[in-house]
Amino acid sequence: MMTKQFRPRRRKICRFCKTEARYIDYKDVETLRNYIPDRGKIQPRRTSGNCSKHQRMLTGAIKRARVVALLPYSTS
Amino acid sequence: MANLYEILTVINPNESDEGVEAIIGGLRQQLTSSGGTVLAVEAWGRRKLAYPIGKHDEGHYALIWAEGGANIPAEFRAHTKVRESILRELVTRLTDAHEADVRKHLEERGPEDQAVAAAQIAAASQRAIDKRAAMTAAMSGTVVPAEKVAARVDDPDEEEDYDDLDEDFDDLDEDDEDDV
Repeated sequence: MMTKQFRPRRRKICRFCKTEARYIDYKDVETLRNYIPDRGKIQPRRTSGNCSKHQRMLTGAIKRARVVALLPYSTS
Repeated sequence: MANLYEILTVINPNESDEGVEAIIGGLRQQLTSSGGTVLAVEAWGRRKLAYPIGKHDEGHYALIWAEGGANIPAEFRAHTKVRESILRELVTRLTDAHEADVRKHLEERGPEDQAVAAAQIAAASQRAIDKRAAMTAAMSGTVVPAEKVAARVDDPDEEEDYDDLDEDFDDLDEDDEDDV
């Protein structure tokens, strides 16, 4: 019988903490795009590994970008 | 204390370059009239929209930095909402860290080109004059009897007309019933 092997998961780190980002610009579409997978939804913290502080900044920035059509609300 | 506002606007893609300049000039006028100062304007040019707005897939983007009181965002929005050539606007007050970076950026950029600013404002004024002229022309023309429309509003006999209409409708209703 096969036993599933569990490897200890690598702890994800917040990419914004790495660069010590103090704010996230809504106009920086290239960066924001990294956090909206195919559907255009905002990637959750459990997959992106962002810290709470930066995730909050990120969601704010993405939502602002959506208002001015820099990012989509959804993609089909 | 004056706040720093970052304003991003999306302008109708059907506007010509001169039209966009005039619209930016109009926004400048609006910001100054509500007691603000325009620090810089960056035109991003035509960009594809992430989703269609109205029937447009593209838009002219213009980024404006302005300084002023807390009345600026509301008054700016009131101004843009009634202008169909402005598809979207986003007024943001930046966080301290962000604001510091923007101020640094603006400093490196140097002061605004006054000639360009003046030209934009002049274009906006010209556009307003043209629009008014076009409207007066339309009103005096026979195709659009605007005066008649205006006269009818004040006409005291108007109510009578409505009564007649009601009667007509009543008749119609009865006819329908008969058919059924």
